Amino acid sequence: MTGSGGPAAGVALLSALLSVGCAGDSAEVLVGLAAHPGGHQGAALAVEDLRQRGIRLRLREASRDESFTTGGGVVALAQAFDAAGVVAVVGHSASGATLSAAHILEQHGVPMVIPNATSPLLTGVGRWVFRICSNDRAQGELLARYARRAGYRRAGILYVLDDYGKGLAASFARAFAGQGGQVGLAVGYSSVVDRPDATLVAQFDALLRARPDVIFLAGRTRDLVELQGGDLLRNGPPVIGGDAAFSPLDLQGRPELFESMIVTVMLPPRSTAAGQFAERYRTRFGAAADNPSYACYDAVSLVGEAVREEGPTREGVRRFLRRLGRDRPPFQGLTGPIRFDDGGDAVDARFQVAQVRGGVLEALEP
Amino acid sequence: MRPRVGLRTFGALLALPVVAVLGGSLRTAAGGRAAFEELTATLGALGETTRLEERIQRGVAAQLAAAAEYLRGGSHRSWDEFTALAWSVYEDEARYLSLPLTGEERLAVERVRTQHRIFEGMAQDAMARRGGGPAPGDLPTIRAAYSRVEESIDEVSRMIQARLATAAASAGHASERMGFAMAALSALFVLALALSSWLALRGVLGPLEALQAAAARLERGDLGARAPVSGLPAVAQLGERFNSMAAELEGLLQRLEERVEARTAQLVALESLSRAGLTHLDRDALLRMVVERMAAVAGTEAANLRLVRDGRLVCLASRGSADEEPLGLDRQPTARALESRRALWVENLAGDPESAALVGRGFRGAVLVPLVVENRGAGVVGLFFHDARPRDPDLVRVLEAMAARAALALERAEMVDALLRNAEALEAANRKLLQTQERLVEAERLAAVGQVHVTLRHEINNPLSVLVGAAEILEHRADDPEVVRHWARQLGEAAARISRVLRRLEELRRVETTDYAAGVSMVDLGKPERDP
Repeated sequence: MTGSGGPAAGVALLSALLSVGCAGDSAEVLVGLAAHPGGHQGAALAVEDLRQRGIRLRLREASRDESFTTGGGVVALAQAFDAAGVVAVVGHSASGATLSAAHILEQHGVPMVIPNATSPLLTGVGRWVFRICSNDRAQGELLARYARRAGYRRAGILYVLDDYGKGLAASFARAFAGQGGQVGLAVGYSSVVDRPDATLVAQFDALLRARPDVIFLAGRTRDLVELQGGDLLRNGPPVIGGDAAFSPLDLQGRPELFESMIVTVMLPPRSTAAGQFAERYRTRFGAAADNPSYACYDAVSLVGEAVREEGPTREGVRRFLRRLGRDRPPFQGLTGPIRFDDGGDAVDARFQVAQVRGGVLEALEP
Repeated sequence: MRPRVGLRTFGALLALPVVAVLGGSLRTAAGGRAAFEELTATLGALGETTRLEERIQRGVAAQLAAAAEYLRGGSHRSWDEFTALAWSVYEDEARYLSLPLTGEERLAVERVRTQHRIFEGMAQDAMARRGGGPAPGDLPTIRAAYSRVEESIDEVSRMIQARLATAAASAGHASERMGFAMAALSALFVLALALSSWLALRGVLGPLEALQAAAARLERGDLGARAPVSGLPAVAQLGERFNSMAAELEGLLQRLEERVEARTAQLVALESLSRAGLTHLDRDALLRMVVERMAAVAGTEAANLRLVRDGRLVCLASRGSADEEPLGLDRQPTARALESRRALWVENLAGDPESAALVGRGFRGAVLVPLVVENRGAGVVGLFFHDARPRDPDLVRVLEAMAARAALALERAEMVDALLRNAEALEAANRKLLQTQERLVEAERLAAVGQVHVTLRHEINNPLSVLVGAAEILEHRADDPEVVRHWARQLGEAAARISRVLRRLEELRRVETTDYAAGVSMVDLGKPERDP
């Protein structure tokens, strides 16, 4: 065996030395991370757990602004990750930024593991891009089905004018109309705000003038809080929203703004590992773990396992991810078994419908 | 040695500039290829970018028109149209990202996406604030935002065009350099051609002439003709090929002659069997000859011939160390040969459990040739080899032909045997008949003698008695003339009667008998003469 594996082992060793050299630490493997705050905290716990198993990763973390920025910022960040010699990138949070980064990383041959971005346009970007969550087409159809079963016939849509909001709003509108519902008005709002006094009042007024019996929100908690949309939500018809509509970390201490809201979520299955993670997360960070926390923990763990199995190279990580569920068993993460289809999407990821109760999400149906 | 050193020096002097020119040309070609690939990629990106630009520009312009219509007091349908365009144009913007863009171009595309989002946000804000009536006051601001979207799209277009121009220029330079490289390569080619011509004069023509002479000798039938293996590697290889071909031809002819000799011997043996069938009437001698000739043709000493007799295969002739025991008709593989009426070639007797005895005698292979008479297997000629030789179809055909002729000869010999046996029986019967006839003739002759004796005694005794009595009377009564005359007449009549009896016997043609006394016959001479 020693003789037969000599040349391959030599190449792997050389690659490892080069990669580690780029990271600036002779023993650590660099991984890029651009995520929601909860995602960064989940990733930190994953790094700790991997280190106990002898897998030494070091995160090259983007700032909160870098993680959410679009435009030129995301181009610069992706190029910085590549230049730093990361073996993979875990991120981003927003679909628009993720879409921009994905094409750049694909062009440079850097594996990308997407924890939360749900835009349908991320499906099939290339051979280096993998997503461990479901997509907006699936959650749009799920929420439209829920809304119709709940008896809502006329929906108003409030969506953020970016890739996430447009994709999810369009998916919901098509599915709702396909199931006999009617879309009264779709009102977009911009998260690129250059007016200090900007609010969503006008948008809400326009929506309510169309007399919807339910409002579908394809936007983010952060936008709503910054644009003072939370209070407005409480005074209208019932609100259902996508996976970004509610995040306890973005509430700035006002969970009541979103009480009773129906949203989609990818909750981890009830397992000992997930329970222990939730407890540990709460103890460490003083807050409940959200979906990005679990997803980023899994994404970083996945990269660590790939490094251990295939060596600290980009091609090795890509090969490991590609083989999951094919000639390797699926990776058992907190969010469930992880394997990818030909388009790079997770095969087993599913959204659930949940309700905000006392500032916490509770699943309504599987 | 002197020319070799000269060539080496010449080669070394020639190699330096050749390698330099060749290396430069190859580098130029590689650079040219990269430039053309860049040009091709840019052209592809340009084409796709142009299509996307047009679609995005049309979509954003339609959004502007829808927003303006709504702000001027239009219905919600205008807003719905604006929304539908927002949901479709963003997909085209995302497709921008999948193009092979440079970093600067990608930043420009991001600016398009950002400017479009600002435009949509301003338009949505204005439409939401419109309230119940028209609110065209925001239109100039929205148009300004729209203009920035267009400018950002134009910027992307300019960048792609610039890259196209750069790539085209690079490709042009590469093409120019490749032209020089091609010229250099052409010069190298001409040089190589001259060198190869010189080498041909020195190292090619001589060996080729020798090769031609050898070919002429070979053509005249001199199979020992060989070409010299010398000169350039390719020419030396040609000489080797020629020699190999000549050796192969010589061997081929030798093998052909051997084969003709063997075939001639086989045909002679076959013909001898045919003649034997016509002339050889001794069956046993014929069988021995068949075994001998077929063994000779097969090239072995061991052979036997078995014929079917009383439900068994009985050995009637053998030679060498072939076995002679009788075999049952179901004994394999002989039975297969008999049943198929075709020669059976057993390449390896060791694989046949029923051939253990033959294997014990040291045989490894065999040919079993059936003798077919009137379409039935009448016997088998076995030919046995001490080696396990492969099947020889030509030998099988000859052996089958010999067996066919042997079967005919055998059939004829057996017919002759049968005829001979019939002739002997007839001769014995004839002999017995003749003996019987002789005995009958003798008996008849003895009977005839008796009959003649009786006849003579009967016919002649009376006259004789007259003669004897007359004589006595005459002796005593010679003096009595009367008596003498009387008895002289009597003498004469008696003598005449005897004479008549004898004459009648001589004239007798058909013997008829008549009873003379009980159990005694005599020849019937007709009515007996009356005594006087």
